[in-house]
Amino acid sequence: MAATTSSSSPTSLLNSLSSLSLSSSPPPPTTVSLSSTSSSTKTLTAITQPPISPLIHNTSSNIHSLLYPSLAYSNNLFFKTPYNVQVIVGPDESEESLIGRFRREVFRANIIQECKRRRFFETNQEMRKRKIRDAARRRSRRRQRPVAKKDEISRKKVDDEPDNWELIDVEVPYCQ
Amino acid sequence: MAKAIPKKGSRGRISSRKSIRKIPKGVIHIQASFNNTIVIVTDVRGRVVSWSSAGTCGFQGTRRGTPFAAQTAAANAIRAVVDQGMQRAEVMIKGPGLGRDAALRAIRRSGILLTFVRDVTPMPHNGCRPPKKRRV
Repeated sequence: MAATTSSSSPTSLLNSLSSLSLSSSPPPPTTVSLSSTSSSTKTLTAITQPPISPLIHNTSSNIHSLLYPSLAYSNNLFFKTPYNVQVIVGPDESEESLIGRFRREVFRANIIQECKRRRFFETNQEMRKRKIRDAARRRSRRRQRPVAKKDEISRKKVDDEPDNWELIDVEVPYCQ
Repeated sequence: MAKAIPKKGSRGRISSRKSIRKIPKGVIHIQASFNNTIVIVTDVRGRVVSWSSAGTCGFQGTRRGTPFAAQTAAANAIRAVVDQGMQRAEVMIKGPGLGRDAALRAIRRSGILLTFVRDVTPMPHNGCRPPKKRRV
């Protein structure tokens, strides 16, 4: 699954936001969105601070979501520089934990895989093969986990059966 | 030039002395490609203070792309800047290379306070056509 990053230029986004503010009345939500510094929708952040709530949910106007659906996630705009992954370093963080965290975030964003894919041109045939492979991998991953759970449940049911067909040690008359 | 830096000093003097700025906060850019790692230290605005790369550290050829080379490049670059009094830094990592983690490790060990670590690898939204596949 290729992770695309919506790193549109900040100026164009600012322009669209200003047009939004001009068209509709409420001023406070726009200031919230302009002052937000969170990342964009498809980027990942390990921000420990509470995220700024989205523009659309705060406002009562549903016009925003109807007219500008692409700005639904406008709270996740980045203004200074576009980035794919951001890791905020804590005050006393060990070297290994920082590097481990960074590597995990980068892996989740699929950055290195994307870079390798885009290094050389891949034909339509190769693209189709790659997509089939990725889909098969995803399907096998999804089937592995729930199947394991079903096995556990079926085993438990066998033990709790009310019928007990084992031999019972009781003295039966006229039998040796 | 995009950014206009105002001139200072009298006209008649030929300023051959380098301007030593004291920068408490800076940005460290790490460009980690498959064959090399370049570490550039700039100020917050982006003006370069010092730089170093695996090639300038004496490595040649295939050894430039190794993580150890990236480590020495980062250490080299930071040594020049710590004397200028830089305490905090942001790290921007670009490119898919082996030098990413190694350079970050070296920066962490040098004692500079890190605020952010960002990945700024440029991702095209299906833009230019990349070169053809290698048939090796």
